[in-house]
Amino acid sequence: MAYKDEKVVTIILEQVGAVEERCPGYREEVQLALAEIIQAERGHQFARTNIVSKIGDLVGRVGTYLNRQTVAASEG
Amino acid sequence: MNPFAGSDIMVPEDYREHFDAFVQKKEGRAAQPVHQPFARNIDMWFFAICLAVKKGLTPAGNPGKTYKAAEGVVLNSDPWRPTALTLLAIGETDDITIVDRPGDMLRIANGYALAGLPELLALLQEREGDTALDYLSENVEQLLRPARPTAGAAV
Amino acid sequence: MRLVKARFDGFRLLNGVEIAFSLDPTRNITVIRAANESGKTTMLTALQWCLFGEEALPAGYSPQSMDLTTGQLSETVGEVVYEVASKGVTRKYRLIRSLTEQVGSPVRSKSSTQLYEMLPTGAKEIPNVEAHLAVHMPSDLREVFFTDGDRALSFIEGLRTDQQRRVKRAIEQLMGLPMLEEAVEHVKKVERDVRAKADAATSNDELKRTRAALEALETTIPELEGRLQTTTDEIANLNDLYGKADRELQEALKRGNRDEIAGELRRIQKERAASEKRIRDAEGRQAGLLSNKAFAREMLGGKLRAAGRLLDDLRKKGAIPNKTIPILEDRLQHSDCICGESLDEHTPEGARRRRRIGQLIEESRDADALKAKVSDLYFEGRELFSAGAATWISDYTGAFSDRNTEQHTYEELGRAEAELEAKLDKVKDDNVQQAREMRDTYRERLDEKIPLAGRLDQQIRQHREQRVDLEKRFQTLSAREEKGRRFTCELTAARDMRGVVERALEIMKTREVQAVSLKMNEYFLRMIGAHPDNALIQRAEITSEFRIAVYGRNERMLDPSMDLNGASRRALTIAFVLALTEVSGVEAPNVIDTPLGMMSGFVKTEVVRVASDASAQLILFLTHDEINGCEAILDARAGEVTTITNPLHFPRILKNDPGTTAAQALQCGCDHRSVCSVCDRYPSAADADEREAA
Repeated sequence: MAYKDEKVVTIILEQVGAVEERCPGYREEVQLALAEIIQAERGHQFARTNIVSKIGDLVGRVGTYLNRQTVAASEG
Repeated sequence: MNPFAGSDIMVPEDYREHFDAFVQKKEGRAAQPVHQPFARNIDMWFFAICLAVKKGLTPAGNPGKTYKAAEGVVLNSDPWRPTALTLLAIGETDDITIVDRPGDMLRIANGYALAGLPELLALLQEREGDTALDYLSENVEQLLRPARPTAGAAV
Repeated sequence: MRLVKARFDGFRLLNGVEIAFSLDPTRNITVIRAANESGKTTMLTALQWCLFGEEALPAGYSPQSMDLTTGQLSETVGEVVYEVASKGVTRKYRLIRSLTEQVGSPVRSKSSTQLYEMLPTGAKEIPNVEAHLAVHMPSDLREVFFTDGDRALSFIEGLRTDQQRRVKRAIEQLMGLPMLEEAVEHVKKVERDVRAKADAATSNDELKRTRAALEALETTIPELEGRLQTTTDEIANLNDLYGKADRELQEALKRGNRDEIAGELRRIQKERAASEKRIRDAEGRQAGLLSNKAFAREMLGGKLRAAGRLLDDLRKKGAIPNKTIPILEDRLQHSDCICGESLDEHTPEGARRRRRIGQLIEESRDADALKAKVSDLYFEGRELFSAGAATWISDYTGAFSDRNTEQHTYEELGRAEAELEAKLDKVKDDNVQQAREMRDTYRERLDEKIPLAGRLDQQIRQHREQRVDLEKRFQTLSAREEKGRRFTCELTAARDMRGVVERALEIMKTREVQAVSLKMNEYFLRMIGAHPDNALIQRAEITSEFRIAVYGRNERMLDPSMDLNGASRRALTIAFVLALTEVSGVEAPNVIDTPLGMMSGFVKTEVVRVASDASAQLILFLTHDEINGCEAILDARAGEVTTITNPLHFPRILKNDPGTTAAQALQCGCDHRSVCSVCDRYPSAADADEREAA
């Protein structure tokens, strides 16, 4: 019940389209991470979690992807 | 010249309350000319004379018990009045020498006053909704209005 | 979420009352019919207590049964069975909330809850009840989904900023905006952590300084935003107050300045007094006509003319005037007579003639007394006895007409005076002055606050620009270093992700609110039967400041608290709640207590119809009066109806003796069209009287 998560998710996905494709597959990574963030926030409402740490991990994942792709591009 | 200066104007006692009713006497209180058309007793007395003469009434005698309504000297305030009364007496008697007999002149005047007062009071009593001033004025106007000439009317 | 069933025991006058809620999507209305003071509001409160706990109770409210005495133990139990659908799966839950207290105890106890998931295999207890309830039925949404017809009006009545806050909160809660806002904050925190790591990994002083500056801004900006919000609220309130004060000033000006009116009144009074005096004078003049010369002349006319003829004769004869003596006396002064003879006293002839003249003078004197009088009379009386124009009547006409004219003027002035006195009565003391002062005070305060808001806005903008610059700077600096590059990428990713969520938030706030606004308008106009071409109310909308505004003809903004009647105001709030529910996609029951009060047949039916169309599940608490006129639509759309009766309404309202004096509501299965021996009542007090008399 409560909020129709779908609505929020739809709008988020819409806005992902506006993100710059800094490297191939970057937008997709961002999208995946955001979906997980929304889920984490949802769960955070049920029971308090270490949400900042979780989000930190997700940000780190995307950041690492970007870093690797950028380095690969400058080398290759 | 007021030949009546030394005389008193005597009016039947019965008329005293009527003089009080229709003469503006109280100083300081707002006079209401509409209800009390006469400024002084002498004016009401004079009006009665005029009314009687105009209506052709016969001067009356025998006033019965009288009271002093005014003093002859007040006639000074309207110098034409003594003149008018003098002329009235001459006109009544056709005798010029009457000017030397103020007493006779006053008697003639009083005779007319006595005839006119009942007439005046009758008017004042029948005035119904009208004010005293307006009713008297209307009646005077009727009396002074020139009569329409009708065939054979006396002039 | 949909309600399936509810039961209350020991909650005030609800004991053993059980409600089944309609789950039929085509007949989605559940009606609880009850007269006032029969338990309607109690049931609404009980339901909320069950789902939300003590916070749902009004201050000082006790759910204890009314029949208990001090010292007795009170047991209150509420049970709700509900369904939650999520991702195509429907789960059924049973919630039991109970409260045991000693009546009269100063210590208020807290209720305890149990939650079970109803599975085909049996009931499974769920340990963290509050957490689940917070998701299934968040307490923030209580005011939206549980609507007391009167309380809902606070969306459109009261202090403007309060209204806006309530509307904004309702929208935010239903859209899940707080969750997104929290997500933004969390990402920001992650960014801060990454910067700290970058700072630690590289030993760059400039980097450190940049980070410190950014941290500072993270505190300053929210602080400034808070102050700006406060100031903006103050300005909104002051504008309202200013508007009201200005309107009052205009009203006061229309009624008139007290001083001016008083002055005018005095002037008119003086004029009237003067006019009165002129009337008296005119009366005096008219009265004077009865004593004046012209009057006497015309009245005594005949006699006077007779005397006049006599005098004229004498004059013609020469007897008057007597001029002899003066001439004779005059001659004695001279030495000769008129005839030429000498009058010299020294000559005998002259002396003789002088003696003769003296004799004549003496003889004349005797006759003269009378002649003198008559002569004087002739000259003085000539005006009286000679023919002349008759002027009395025209004098009288003139005087009378003057009197009338002045009388008219007097009456006009009297009327004008009365009018002014009435006007003066309406004007309270110093009205205009006070109103002007109030308005100017508000203006002054606005003139202070508005520039302040401008300054704060500018400061916030500058700080935000600064922040963006510093962020870029930080990234540039860290990117220069090998070790920093990794952190740069993380910051980029974080920024991109934060941007997405912030934009999503913005869109929900504008686009989605706009959708709610349009839907609310649609529902509202349908409910009140407004036709676009000729209705007095043209549309309703939610402004960008979260105000519910209503517009009349010519785009004139109406004030809901003044320009809408009670029925329209209620319809508007119900339309808002329904629109919000629909657009947010939240599925929850709409529970409304007496929504149809003050409404006529058309609006009533439309409200029920629109609400049923827009709701997933509509639960209405209605009085008999409210149902009156709606029977047909309830026939079509009500899936479940039950009636609650207060036995203590016998004998004044209830026809039949319920057989109990306990303060407990009685429930029967009667629907909106039927009655039974339990719930049968008199339609009016008059009927009750009749029956009592019989």
